[in-house]
Amino acid sequence: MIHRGIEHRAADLSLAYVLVAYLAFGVAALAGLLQGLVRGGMIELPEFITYYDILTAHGVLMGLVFTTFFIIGFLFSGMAKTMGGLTPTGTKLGWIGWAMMFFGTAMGTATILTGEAAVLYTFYAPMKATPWFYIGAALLIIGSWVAGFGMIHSYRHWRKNNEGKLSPLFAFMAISTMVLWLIATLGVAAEVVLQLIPWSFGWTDKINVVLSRMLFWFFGHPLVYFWLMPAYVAWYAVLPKIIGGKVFSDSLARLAFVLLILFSIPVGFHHQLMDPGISSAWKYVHVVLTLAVVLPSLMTAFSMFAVFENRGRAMGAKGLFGWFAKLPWKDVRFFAPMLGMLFFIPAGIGGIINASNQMNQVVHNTIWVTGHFHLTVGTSVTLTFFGITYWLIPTLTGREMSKRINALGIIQTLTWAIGMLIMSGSMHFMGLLGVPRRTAFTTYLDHVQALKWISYQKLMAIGGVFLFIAAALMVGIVLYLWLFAKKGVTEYPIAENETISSTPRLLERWPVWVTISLCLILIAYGYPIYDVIQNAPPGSPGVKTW
Amino acid sequence: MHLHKYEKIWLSLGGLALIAFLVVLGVNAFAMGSHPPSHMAYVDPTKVDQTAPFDKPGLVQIGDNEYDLNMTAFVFGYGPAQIEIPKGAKVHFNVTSKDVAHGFSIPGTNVNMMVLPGHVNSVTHTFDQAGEFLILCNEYCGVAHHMMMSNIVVK
Amino acid sequence: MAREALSKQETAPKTKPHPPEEESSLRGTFVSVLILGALIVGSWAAAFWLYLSRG
Repeated sequence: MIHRGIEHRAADLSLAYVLVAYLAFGVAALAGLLQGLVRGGMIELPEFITYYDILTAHGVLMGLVFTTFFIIGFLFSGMAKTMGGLTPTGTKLGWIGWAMMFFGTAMGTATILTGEAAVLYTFYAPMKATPWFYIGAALLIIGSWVAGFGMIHSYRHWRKNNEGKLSPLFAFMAISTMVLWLIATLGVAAEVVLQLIPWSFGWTDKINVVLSRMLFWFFGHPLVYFWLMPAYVAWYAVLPKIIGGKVFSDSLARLAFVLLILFSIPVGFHHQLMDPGISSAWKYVHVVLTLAVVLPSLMTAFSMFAVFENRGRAMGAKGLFGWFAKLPWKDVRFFAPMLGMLFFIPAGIGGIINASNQMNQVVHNTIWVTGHFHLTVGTSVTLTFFGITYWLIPTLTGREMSKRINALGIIQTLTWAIGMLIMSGSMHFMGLLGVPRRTAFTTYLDHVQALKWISYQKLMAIGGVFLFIAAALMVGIVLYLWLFAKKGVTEYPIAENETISSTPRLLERWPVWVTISLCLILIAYGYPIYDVIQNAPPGSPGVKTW
Repeated sequence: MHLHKYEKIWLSLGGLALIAFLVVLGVNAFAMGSHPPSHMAYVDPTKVDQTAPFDKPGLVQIGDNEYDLNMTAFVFGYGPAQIEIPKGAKVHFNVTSKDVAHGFSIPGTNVNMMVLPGHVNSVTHTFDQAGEFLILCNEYCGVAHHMMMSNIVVK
Repeated sequence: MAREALSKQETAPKTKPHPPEEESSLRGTFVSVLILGALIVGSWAAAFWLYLSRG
């Protein structure tokens, strides 16, 4: 008899997503290792594959595939746990979405590895990849919509059957994440389907470059919140349970998620601060909205510290910081996400600097930016996902994590953290010197300025080796937990509220929030998009430059 | 919805700090002219070589030790590839692309902008120090992206 | 019903103080976020200085 933490059909679905996530993660980690060693000047690649093929594979598989598959799998599982299962239609949609995403990923990866799509995960026009790369990307996105509809179907069903009741916090947050995703991906879907695919087939001969970039970054920034929000779900709704505490404030947690939906979309120009063709006034509007999205993260910081302090004091901690020592540091389910949170401090600060209008000139497209998102998504989010994995896979498979795996997990987490400190630290430093990102090893004909960078690039590569070791350990642990760990019962950890909730009903009125979100988008993007279509320069023909 | 007293203080302080950032940036940008490069001029990307001033890329004196430096970016280089600039000169870089998206950055300065086909982007820098400066492409543009450069000698 | 009553209480003007332990037990949290705030402001100011110095 197998005892699973959630209903078995939902468990199978969730597991299928998580396993594909780690398959992509393993391949991407290998690409990352090679990339680091090439950039460090330590190895050279064989003739048949270039640095930029590997860079594209790493970015697409880590940033788009690992994250999206893991997130959808995790959210399905938590919804099934807190709502007592998924609807049959919801489960079916989940599987259809999985199949579309898997097929799209396979297609995209094949075009990358055969050198037909070395366009990186931003695929900026007018570099032109094979249409099959864009079609693969479209399938990945549309598949994720279908999965999102599956969650929404289950959620609506629950609300109909529980009229007047507040939905579970986890389910609310999962739906918030998918609402954000559905709105945000409209931009990239429009870019891919209306601009890139017809143009790469040759049905249209020219492309509006600035429009394509606007549509991409309409999606590109909320994308980072799509990564971050599931980590916040774990921090708000799971972690308190793991440390034996309670949710700090249900209503503030929900408010933070609503603010994330509202303010993470109308901000894309902060990725285009150095672009021509967008006026500085409109850029500044987006900068203002960008800094507004900092507020929910400030709220989250307070809530997390408060959860920890309350728990520590309940265990008898004294003094100003005594609670810090009381936390379960030896439990990897806590330790990994906790390190992720601590890494979010420099990660968030770097983000504020990046978005600060003219200050972006110091860091734009330097390797500082690469260092920055390896802290945000590559550490805060990823370590949280690792922490989730340690209990999620045993829950889904009816197994148990042993003490030895826990100890190995601590080592794995530390190796990742040390590797990232070295790699991201040197990236940030080099970025301030002006070292470019997305660039193979080069001395620029032994230019005096460039020769100063070489030793830091080596240091960065050493950090990358640590990260690869940690990644390989993680893949091994996933396989072990899936197939070999001892049969047993692992509870799905969901935290309870401190008090009877006084959450305002307004927070769950989706039409209100979606309307406000669309209004903000209209304000931030309406005129600029109209303008860039009406007053476009002559279009650009596509070119394959690799 | 209840907010803890400390959280109210924290969010107020945080909000004020963000507003302060925005005021500093806004004054520096709109009152003192330190905008991020956001030039609005257009050019046909397929006819860059026939369009003035990009038909003759290079340095043009426009004032007392003040210059326009009109440049083209293409896979995988810049025109011109070697530039001499007098020390102390104020230089307005005007750059456009003949093919794909490129970057334009001089490490150690605030010269850093995107160069897109169809658009001219512009940034100004005063070269107070003598020496060699590297112009490099910091937006991936193809297989030899890492070879894309130009050299400035200030003397 | 109970929930609605509670939420009314929450929005009503504060007549009675909250339990003292709730308001005083988060000193560590408060100091922690203040340190975080100082880090944000300090790093941002340093980056702005770097921007100005390269102008």
